[in-house]
Amino acid sequence: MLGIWAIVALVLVAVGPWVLPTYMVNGLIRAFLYAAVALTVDLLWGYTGILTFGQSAFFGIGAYAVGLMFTHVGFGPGYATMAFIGAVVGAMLVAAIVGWLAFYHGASPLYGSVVTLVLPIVVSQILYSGGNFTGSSSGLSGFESFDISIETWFWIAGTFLVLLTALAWLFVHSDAGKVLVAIRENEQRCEYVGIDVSRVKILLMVVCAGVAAVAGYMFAGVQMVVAPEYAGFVFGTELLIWVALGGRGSLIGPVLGTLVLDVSTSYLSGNLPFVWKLIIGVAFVVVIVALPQGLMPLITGFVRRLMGRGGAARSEPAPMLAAVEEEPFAGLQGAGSQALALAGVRKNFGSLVVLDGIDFVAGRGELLSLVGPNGAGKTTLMRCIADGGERSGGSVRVNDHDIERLPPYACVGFGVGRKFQNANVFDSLSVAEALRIARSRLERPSLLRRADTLLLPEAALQVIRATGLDRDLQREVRHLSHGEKQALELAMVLALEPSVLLLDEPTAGLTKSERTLIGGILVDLARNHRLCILLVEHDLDFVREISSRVIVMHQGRIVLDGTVEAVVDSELVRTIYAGGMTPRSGAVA
Amino acid sequence: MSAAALEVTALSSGYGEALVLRDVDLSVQPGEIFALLGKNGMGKSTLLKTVMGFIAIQKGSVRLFGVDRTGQAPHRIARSAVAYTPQEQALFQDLSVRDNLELGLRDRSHFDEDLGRIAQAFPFLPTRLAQRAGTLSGGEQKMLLVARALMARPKLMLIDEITEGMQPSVIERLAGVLRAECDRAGTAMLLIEQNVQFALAVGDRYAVLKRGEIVDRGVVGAAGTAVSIAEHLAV
Repeated sequence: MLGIWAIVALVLVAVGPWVLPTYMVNGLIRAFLYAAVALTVDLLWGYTGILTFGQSAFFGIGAYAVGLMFTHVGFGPGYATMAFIGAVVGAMLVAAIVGWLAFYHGASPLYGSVVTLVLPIVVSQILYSGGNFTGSSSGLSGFESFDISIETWFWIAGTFLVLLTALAWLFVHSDAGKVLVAIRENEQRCEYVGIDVSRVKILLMVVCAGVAAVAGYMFAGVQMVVAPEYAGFVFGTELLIWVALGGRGSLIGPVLGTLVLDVSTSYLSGNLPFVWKLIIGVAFVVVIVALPQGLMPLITGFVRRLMGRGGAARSEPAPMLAAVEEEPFAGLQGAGSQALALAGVRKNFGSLVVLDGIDFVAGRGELLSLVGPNGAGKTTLMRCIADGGERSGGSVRVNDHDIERLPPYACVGFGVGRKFQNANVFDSLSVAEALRIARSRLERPSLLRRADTLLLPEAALQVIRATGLDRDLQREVRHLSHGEKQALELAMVLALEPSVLLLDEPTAGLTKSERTLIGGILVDLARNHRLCILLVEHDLDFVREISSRVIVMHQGRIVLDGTVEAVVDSELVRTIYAGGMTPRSGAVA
Repeated sequence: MSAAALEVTALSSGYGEALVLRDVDLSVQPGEIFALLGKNGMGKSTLLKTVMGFIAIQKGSVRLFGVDRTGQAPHRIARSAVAYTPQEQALFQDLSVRDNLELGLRDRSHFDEDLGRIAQAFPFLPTRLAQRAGTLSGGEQKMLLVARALMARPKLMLIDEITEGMQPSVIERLAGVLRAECDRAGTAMLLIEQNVQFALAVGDRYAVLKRGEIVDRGVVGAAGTAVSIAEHLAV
């Protein structure tokens, strides 16, 4: 399908210069290059959720590499190559620094956007204050450039755009591309399946900067003029508007949106200089209000109806499920005996002390239940084990690694898997995609392909089969019931093949029979695969059935630690915690 | 007999073209607790969301206290003395416990009186009024959610799995408070539960929902109830 569209596009590009008037050919060359930059904005904003104003800066860097080199040093194949390398490497370096500033661990998305907003302002200010070297506000022009006809430039720029779009299309539909959507949907969950989100964002930013710089390089080469506006904040914002109008998160929408808007602007702004901006502005507001997804869904809906394919159902086939070949969790059996060791762990929110000196050691194969009244600090304790940045004091060791102040993805690397209290999943991904994201730490996802089998450890397979999710692999997660989301998250955590499993009420929202099944799976993981499982649970019957040890927490401290019999039936648990209910009118449940 | 608090007739609804509920008939009388049981993904939450007006009705009608409310917007349904406690996070995380409790109230003169009564089930509430709701533990947030609904003095409560994450002794006290509220103020409640024990401890009548249809219904405590429910909830 993609191949056919790409060939059609290439044919259009090939015949373009013969059938279009010259000024149109000129305008389209520029629009092709703008569209390439808009494509990178769509990857960053539409797919990954990074609202960026800064792609213009990288376009400007690419353009000025040409202008500066050809004006001050000279023109020739060698210089042109040097300018190209300078453009791409320079833009990528700047992007790496900006990315590092914008996406450090724990930075808010708003902060990242502000950094990208500042970037084009800084770059254009530098160009303004560069005197004769950068040409200041009038920029650089009149330099010698490639001796290539306008038709050839049209072919080069057009082919560049088509190939870039095809490549981006393959990428966003690949397994790696889904990681971007997962980051947009739920950054926290990504961290907890072991993805270094900051690193992924910086890498993406660097690649997109390189592409924008190539577009800028060609732009300066064909126009033989560069000016600070091309690196500026206004251009950066225009790119966002084109992407939003075209339809963010659709690749084709932003490309078509840019082509149409840029060409019509150059046509009409001559005739209607001020009114045209007003029209664009009004159109933008109308689209944002009436079609928040942009114009693309209208077009795709129309094409679908033409081709007789209805509905929003996912057309691609469901992946085959298969168990991981080698014995999962195998690497652990020979390791040291201490899976988890906490010493003096404290946590306070201001003056409120939530955890007050927690000490315990848990070995492999232990299924340790954590019980206690609501607000005793159970969830906080789990958070402190899975994220080094959480605790206020004390130490946590996982499989003999001190977690220090390391972020969640690093703790996952030591063997921690955490299931949250409220289902914490990816709403707009399918069940299969969500599970694959959870596997991405162990199986590097392909950048261009979508795998047709989904390898999962046996325990994860059991959970999804027990809850019927295996029949719903293509269903979007948002349409699952609460209990099904809980089960999916549990399966995702098991897919990590963790050695220390933290489960916060894993069976909440599930029926009795589903709970029993999952209880059995957990016991099997602890006994036969030697996992250390820490379980927060309120159902004392469930605790009694599956645990090998019980810890009781009360007001941030451990008040009891012992065998199931000793703890569950103790006077203390009965008074602070347990209840006993009988059905009305003597019915028996 | 006065009009039913909630009367759902031949109701069908769902997401897009996929129907989740098919021809559901159900009524809840004033002063009655109706327990809606069923496995996961059978449409229980969808029913509550449809009654509240969050999901479009494809067919059928929803009447509240004798008035046809089919297709009305959620805020209008809520104004007809209906309180809804959804299963997902529904608190204002950055507001204080007190703000959360007061938000839906038009008349705050009953605040202390009502809080005193509700605090019998949730003793932590009056002592933590200034705390930010988002810093409460998961179970405490659930308690605040049901407390907020009760504070509004609703005539009909729609409660979605409220006991999830609550400690057993609190669940027991909650059962007492809900029962007392029904008996005292004649509040009607439609309750979704996975905790069958709790549902049968507070419920007057029950129904079991399976793939969007009611497959069993009856009076709690009648002969054979438990066996019938167990059969429907088993795999």
